[in-house]
Amino acid sequence: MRHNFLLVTFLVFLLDYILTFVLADWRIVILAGAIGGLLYTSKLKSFAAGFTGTLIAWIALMVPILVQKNNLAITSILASIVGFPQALLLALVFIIPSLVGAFACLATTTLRQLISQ
Amino acid sequence: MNKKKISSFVILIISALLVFLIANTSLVNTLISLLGPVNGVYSSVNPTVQSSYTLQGLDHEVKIIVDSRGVPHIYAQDDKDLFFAIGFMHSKDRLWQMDAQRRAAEGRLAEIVGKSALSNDIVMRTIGLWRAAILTANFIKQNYPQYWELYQAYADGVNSYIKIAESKNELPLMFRLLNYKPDPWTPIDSIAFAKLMAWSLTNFYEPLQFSLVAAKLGDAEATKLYPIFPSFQENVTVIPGNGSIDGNQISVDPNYLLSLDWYSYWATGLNFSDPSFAGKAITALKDALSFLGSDPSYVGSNDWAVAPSKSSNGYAMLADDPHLGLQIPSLWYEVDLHSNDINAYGVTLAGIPSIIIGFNDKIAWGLTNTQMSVMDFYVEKINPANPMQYYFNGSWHEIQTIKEIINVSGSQPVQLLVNLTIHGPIITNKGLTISAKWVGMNVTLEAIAIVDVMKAQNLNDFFNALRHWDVPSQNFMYADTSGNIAVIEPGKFPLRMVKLPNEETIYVLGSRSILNGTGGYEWSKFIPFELLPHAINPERGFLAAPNQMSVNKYYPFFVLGGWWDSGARAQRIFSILSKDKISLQDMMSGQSDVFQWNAYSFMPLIIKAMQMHPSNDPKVQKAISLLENWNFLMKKDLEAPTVWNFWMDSFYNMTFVKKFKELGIEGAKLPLPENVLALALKEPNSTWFNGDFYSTAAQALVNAVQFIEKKMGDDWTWGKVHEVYFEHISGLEALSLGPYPEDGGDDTLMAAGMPMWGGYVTHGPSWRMIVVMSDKPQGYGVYPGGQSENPVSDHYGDFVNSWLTYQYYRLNFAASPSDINDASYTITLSPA
Repeated sequence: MRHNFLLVTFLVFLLDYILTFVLADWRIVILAGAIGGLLYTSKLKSFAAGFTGTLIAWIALMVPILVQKNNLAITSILASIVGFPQALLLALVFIIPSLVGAFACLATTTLRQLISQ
Repeated sequence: MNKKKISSFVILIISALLVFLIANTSLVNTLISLLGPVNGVYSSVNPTVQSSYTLQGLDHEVKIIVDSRGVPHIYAQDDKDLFFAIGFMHSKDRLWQMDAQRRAAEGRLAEIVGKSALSNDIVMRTIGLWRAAILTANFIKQNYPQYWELYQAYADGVNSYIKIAESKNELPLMFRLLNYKPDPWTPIDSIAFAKLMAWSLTNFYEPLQFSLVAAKLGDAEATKLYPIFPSFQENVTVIPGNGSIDGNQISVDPNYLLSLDWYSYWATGLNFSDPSFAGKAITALKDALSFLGSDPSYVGSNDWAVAPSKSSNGYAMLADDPHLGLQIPSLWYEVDLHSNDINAYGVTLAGIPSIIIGFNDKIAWGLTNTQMSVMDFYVEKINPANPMQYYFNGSWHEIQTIKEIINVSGSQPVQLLVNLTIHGPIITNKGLTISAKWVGMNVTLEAIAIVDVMKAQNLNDFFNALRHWDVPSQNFMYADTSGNIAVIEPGKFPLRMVKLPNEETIYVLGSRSILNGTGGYEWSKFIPFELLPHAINPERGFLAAPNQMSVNKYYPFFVLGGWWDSGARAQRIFSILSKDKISLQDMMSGQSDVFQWNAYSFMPLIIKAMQMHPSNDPKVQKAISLLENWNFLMKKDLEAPTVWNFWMDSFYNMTFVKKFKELGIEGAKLPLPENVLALALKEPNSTWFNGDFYSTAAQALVNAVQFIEKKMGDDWTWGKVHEVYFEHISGLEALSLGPYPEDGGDDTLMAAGMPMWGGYVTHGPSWRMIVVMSDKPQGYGVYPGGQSENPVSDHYGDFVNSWLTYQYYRLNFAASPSDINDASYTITLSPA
């Protein structure tokens, strides 16, 4: 099972990372999560794998961007515009896609269970 | 279905629903898209700059060297390529600003920002800046194709950059935030923005505001508050002397003209003394003023020139600082331009290719507003049997209706019907039908004049270039390397022929009230170029034009509509320039001068008032002591300026503001300080002063002190309440700069007026420039802001601190690239 968790997490991460460049839309996390979820049978672990895989993918994608000149500064400006603290805004940017990926993963795992039942 | 299945089914539904909801929530989707790894805003704030671009529309290679301040030095082989490159650089650094400004002019802001901009769009579409821009563009295209080609080249340069930015996902941040893309730029956009600038500098509503007083209180009171010839300005007019131009002077005794009642029926065709008419007029005037919004309250400028005979370095010198909105991004964009026949340095407006204020290798020029009337308001007679007809010159005419559709972001489009008479758009139908007639509604040619100004090599070229300057009427100050100084006020100044009560007829400029629109009060011609106010090399060795009266009484035409600023700045600069010798440092000190002339003029009366009506309150005594020991400098670290400022607010509040409110004419214009002073000296017991100027002045100080104490406690330092704020043109606080404590105040040379009872300073010296006309002119300048609209760029606000501390940059007018020793990067544009 542990092996499966790592595998699905890695799969979600990989799909997120690649598809983000191909489809240029953050909502591909749904697709990546959904595909990952097809490989799982445990709802809880499916959710966790979807969340972790997406989060790692976003960290891999975002950190190189945020360390570049000006980019952290612009997130600070955008945080002021929407009225959030910068840290909270950045946290949301990582957490929201991860949650979406997690729920997508959970949904397909559940669907697979329903069909198999 | 077993329990497990039901539970799985519920989980499936909930998780799918959550995925759908989160991913499709607009705010979430926008935020993640803007901050996400692909298509995020990061590319917008880190635009790539290539060292070379191959572009269609160019004939030859253009080299652009951008210096350490972000100023482009452009080297092209001809004017067409030069204009192309200006367009490229403008859009590279200011594309969203350009788009927002053209939308403001065209009445298309609501398309991107929604309902909040709808009222602006309705006014702009009613006035018809876009319609006027199309008329002007077509005229230039047909009659001046060589200039049209330049404006087209500019548009091509802009569009080249738009294509590059779009292809690399590098459109500026505001396009991303508002989620739209720019339309291609056209020469009409440049002309429309120029029309907007012209409108914002000449949309004086005084005839409406004065009419309110005339309708409510009668002609005599209106004349008393708003004298045609403002008090104390006769010795500081822009044009030295008695007003005659090259021996031409007015044919009728000007003192007779000044004694007449210009609100009377003979002058206006309207009877303000008829209660029925006056009641309808007040309703209409209030509605018109409410529709049009604010007029240019804080807009003004300084310029002056010093002849070699007066200059300590032996060269002519010129100073100019236009007082406009202190916005971010700044109105201005600095450039150094070189082609086969243009070599010029100065500031452009993003969206308009020519240098507006600057210098070349022979001449320097600066601009201030003349304040002379180029707009009239007509009362239309509507056919009782057909509301779509108006009466003019003996017959009924159809009102022309234009249907405008205004798209509104997030809402349904709004349909606007603009009704036009022969005079112009109808701005109110309530009570009376009033239309507005403005010079800028027709073809105007300043777009070509300013190109020729950049090329002028001497005074003759300069004056000839300005033959095409129509609107906004400006004081063009001039100095050259041959030692000449001059000023001219070019523009289309409409004249009306008026039959006086003594049966004589004369031409008058403008009006002091609304006019009868049925014919007989129409514009009949414009002031001929040769008789425009102008002066060359005056004996006294200087010229100055800080928005004061243009001409004295004997000018060939009677200036009835001149909405002069307070003469305080003129008095002060005349006082400074009356020194034997003026140095470059004196020129700079003049631009940062914060001597409060009005306070200096009023102070004996205030002190006398407090002696007549003493107060035992220690706070009031502190205020008196501060005023008595004050040097009249509005420095941010002093306390006396605070007392003066709020005394003035309090005094106006107890007199004119209160009376206008009581009379139901809140939109009426507050009289100029010097006119109040003149009235106080002449009629201290006037009802405007509640029957006793001195008692009211004393009570105003008591009230001011109470206000200050409540607002500021014991620390009355001016800089605590007087702060400048550079608001981003979107209004977004996160992109704005400031507030910063600031010197100055209303009517100081370093203009920094703030709203009554407090609020930020939002207008002031938007560009300070001084040029010494040595063999190779030496320019010094600074504007508040920076060259880039990118909020994380090093050049977003890098000039602000220098501006706040009155420092200047040496303007590097670099004849060749080798003269630039602080290049940041170079761009080469090559023809495809």
